[in-house]
Amino acid sequence: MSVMESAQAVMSAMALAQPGARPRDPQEGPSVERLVHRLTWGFTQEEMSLAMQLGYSQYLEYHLAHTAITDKLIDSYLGSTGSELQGQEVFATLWMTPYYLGQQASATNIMNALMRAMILRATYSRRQLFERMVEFWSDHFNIWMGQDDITQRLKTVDEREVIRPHALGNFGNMLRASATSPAMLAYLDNNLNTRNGGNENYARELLELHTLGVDGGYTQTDVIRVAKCFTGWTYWGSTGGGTGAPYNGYTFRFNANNHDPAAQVLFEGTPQQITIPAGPNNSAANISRGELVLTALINHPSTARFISRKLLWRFWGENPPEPFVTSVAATYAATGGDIKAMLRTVFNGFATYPPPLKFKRPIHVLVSALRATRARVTSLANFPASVQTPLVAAGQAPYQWQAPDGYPDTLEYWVGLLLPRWNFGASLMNSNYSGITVDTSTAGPLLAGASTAAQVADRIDYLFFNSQMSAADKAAILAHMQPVQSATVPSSTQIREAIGLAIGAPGFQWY
Amino acid sequence: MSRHDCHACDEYNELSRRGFLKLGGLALMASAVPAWLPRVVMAKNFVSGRDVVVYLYLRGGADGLTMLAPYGDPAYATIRPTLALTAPGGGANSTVALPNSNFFGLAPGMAPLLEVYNEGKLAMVHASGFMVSNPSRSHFDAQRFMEVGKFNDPTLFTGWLGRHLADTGAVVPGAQLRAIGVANGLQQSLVGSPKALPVPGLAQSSAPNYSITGASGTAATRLSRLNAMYSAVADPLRSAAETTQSTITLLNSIGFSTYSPVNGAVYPTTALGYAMKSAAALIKADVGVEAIAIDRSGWDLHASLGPVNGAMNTLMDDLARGMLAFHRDVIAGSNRNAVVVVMSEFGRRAAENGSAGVDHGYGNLMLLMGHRINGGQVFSRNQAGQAGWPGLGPGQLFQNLDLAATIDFRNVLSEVCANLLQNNNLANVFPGFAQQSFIGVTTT
Repeated sequence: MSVMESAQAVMSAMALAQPGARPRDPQEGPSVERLVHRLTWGFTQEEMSLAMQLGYSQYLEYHLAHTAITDKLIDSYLGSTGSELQGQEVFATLWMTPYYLGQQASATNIMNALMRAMILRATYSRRQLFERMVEFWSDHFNIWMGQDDITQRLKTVDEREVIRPHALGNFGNMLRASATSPAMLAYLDNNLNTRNGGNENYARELLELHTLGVDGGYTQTDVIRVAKCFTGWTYWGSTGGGTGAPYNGYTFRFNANNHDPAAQVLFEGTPQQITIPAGPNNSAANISRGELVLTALINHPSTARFISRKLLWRFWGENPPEPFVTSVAATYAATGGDIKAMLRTVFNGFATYPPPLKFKRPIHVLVSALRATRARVTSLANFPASVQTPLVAAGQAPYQWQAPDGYPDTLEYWVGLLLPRWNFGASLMNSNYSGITVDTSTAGPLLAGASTAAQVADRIDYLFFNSQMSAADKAAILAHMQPVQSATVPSSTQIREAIGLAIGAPGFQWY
Repeated sequence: MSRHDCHACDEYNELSRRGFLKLGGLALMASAVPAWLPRVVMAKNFVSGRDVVVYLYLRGGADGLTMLAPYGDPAYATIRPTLALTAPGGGANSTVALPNSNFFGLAPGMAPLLEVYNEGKLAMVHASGFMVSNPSRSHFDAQRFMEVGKFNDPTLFTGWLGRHLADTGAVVPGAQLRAIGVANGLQQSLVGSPKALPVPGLAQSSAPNYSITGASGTAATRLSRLNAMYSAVADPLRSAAETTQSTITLLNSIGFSTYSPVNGAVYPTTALGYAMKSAAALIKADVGVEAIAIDRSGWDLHASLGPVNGAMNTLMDDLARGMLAFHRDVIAGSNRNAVVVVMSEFGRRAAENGSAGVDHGYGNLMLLMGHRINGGQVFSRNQAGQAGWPGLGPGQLFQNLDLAATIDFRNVLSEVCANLLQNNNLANVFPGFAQQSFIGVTTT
């Protein structure tokens, strides 16, 4: 087989990848059901009802106006800044200032709280699109939380003050916040980037991963020059400094003395060429030089395309059509990077560009299973702690991707690791995850009176697949629930295992 | 058995005979059957003449200028005033001498490999990379293009090893698993391979827990239900599920937990060490695994490189001890045909930066270890393509920044592929690469 042939064979296999007999949406135009799948952390009939009631556009607007959606369950779990609601003690670190995070005895507790909050928010927040966008931007501005003591303590601040405030806001504002985020500066070594000795790490990823993209029209020379513009961008030590000490500990600091104020020409010879003018030595005003670079990057057409393509990759599917990228990029340009406006272009574009099915990543499989089964937390001390190890086995522990490009979002990467996905269902329904329970009593909200194998299968089909489960998937769970001997209805164990199998089913891996 | 399945039958039979001879015959084998060997294959012990390849990738850009330090180049100490290692012979930063070089020395962390080098089973290729005018200093592009085996082609996503395996019949006919990635996602190098699967649990201290959870009494039934569901869908999901099912059986037939290395091999108690040990168990189990991809990340040391007692030293020590153990256990101790290929996406900037680290660079070190590696020597070339060193001095650096690449890594891997993996369809493995004569890293 030639290279082209083997590449084509794999590509055609990928193009054919469909969950078996599951039919394409029959209706013309964008499907409300697909929208529910795409903008939530997992299909539920409650979301579906809401979407049907509001209609495509209004359902989208409902989720875009996320601050108008009350979120009492999450508030009661986690608490919130400026709220009278008191969260659980275990989540207190979510709301601490950098200084107090620095004073905590255990950095591990800080990380655990953030990871567990992520799972709880994804599963139980009613602001579902918002939480999907938080995930998107946490991947985009990836910080490997485990890298060192600073990232262990301060990724919490990055998530709270960089990602979440801007996830449905303005891209430029988020980029500026990221550039002054101590966790990011530590992760990419910019705290070590000084006039006395440069460090290109942050500058390169700022261009390659955060804004322009690797083919976005910059050179190695630009990397070196951008790095010089960001010399002195660092953070205070744990006990702070200057007039704010000690409580400004672990906050952003522009160290003017370490800044190299020489003029820099960026993107030389391109239409985006810009000169960052020289500044006086040791001047606090020189922070504007890095800010000028950020503005240039925000306004660069490559950034518009790169961000647009990535948004489409996540919410539409792999390899989005170039004209679609162009239209989202046009929205970016017209609105100055308004993320809500871009999402409107993305989701409204489904009418013109019907989205292919997309393969869930591991956290998505787990969370959508918890949502579909109406799993209920019984102990915040035990859950989500009890799913951390299974997520590691599945390859996606929150905030633990080491490289700055964030967890992959391709079928090719994830398709080989099926067993841990099967085990999500098997373990959840075998009550192996402590602190969370799935009620499969006949009268409970999940089964709602279904008792025969056929009734239970129909109920699972309805709740998990909006009654579009593939014939093979449904036949398999039905077979697993065949009553034995003199029984007329399947046993509780049979039902629970069948639900576990539905979570492992091929149809459940797509959204 | 289809004709395709039998692609390698003759070769396999021939190799099997040679394998028996090499090991002293069946009787000897039968009398000393280790308990961890899977019963399923006991009847057909063999040693393939096609090497099993262990592709060890150092993610993040490993600093070859520390690993195999060119202390004989005076510019080295000039551009790395705090990080350069020095000539052997004492001193805090001195290298470990190679017996036949007064130019290169091993970093202390690499010292365990001296044994392999002296036995002639370790070759080092310095200043290698994509020989192109515009190499990528992006981790992600550089890794991808190297692993697919073609520069700057975003449309190609099958890996060089994946295409090699797709292009050759299984060494063990009907093998359930031909390639394993010790990773969460299959490495790009293996994409396109038939019967390939990522198994991250092979890098754990305990045996990989590769089985379905839930009640054990219904496990087999539940797996059969999943099989029924996944058999009804298209690839790649169907084949991934099929390989997952057979891998559950396969891995549980190998007693990883009781596996005992031989010949004084001691694997480091690290993810890399466990992965190398698992690779050894798999190879000796003769189940037909032909390629094992292992990653070691953490080499992206922009700050505080620590060439002697810091982060870099820890990484090198892990790598070198893992390789030494594998050499003793599998290659020297068990006479297995296996080749270990070590590479990284790029070398690092020739000059150190302001934080005692090194930024992204270009030309780098490759390591090759195995029975039929023409080892005990360093392969490197000057800018004219002759034996020598491209140099780190003014006017010698690539783009005035980096060690040049004067040996294309595809040339080295092509030699491995042709001579050790017995695949001469190199135009398929490295498309678009103008093959040159091999540099001689193999003995055949």
